[in-house]
Amino acid sequence: MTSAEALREAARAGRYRQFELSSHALQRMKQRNVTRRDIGLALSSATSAAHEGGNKWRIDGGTDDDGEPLGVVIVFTGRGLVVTVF
Amino acid sequence: MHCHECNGDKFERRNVELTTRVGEHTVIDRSVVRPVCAKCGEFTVSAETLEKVELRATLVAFTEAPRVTGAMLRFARKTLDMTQAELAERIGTTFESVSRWEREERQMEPWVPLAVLGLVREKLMPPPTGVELKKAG
Ligand SMILES: [Zn+2]
Repeated sequence: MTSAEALREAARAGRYRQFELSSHALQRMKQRNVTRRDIGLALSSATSAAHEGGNKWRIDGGTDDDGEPLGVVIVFTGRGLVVTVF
Repeated sequence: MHCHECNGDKFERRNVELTTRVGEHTVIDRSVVRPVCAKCGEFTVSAETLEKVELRATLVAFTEAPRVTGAMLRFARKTLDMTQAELAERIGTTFESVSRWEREERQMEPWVPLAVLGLVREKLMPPPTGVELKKAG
């Protein structure tokens, strides 16, 4: 997978709100008042994808509902895209 | 299926505890059942399930908190996946009003939380199927 493909997949998953969240991501969401909508917007508006090894990518340049920058780490798995940390 | 954390392949289905912050309040939801990694305890929740968890948390907070604050309204709007302008249109107001309520620059009239609660309930409980509306006559 190229970074352009990873970015495109992330944007699609974000736009249609089709992703999963790890228990760690859920914990961070509670701490930072981040909702499903924020993650969706951050993924769909992201501008860069950096490979972190394996199926893991760092997705940056996107913004949340407030217009604040929100970067996320995602893993592509057999069942779709999992947001692990941000 | 493999765990995205440890690559383990043994899972146990059980209830997980999901905590949501709705403005100044915390809502704990123990109704979601997920496969949990037997090795590291990791689990995932889909955005679709999270939507329901957020809606249920909003419903409980709006119903049980002594008053609905700007931060709670903001959380509810995000849970409904709407911009300030979209929410304003649905409840018959302007986005400036929604923005001021969220920032607590203006007090919400009593109908505002009720209208938002109506939208939350509508998403959680879609209209029954097999029931038709017709014009009388
Ligand atoms: Zn595991």
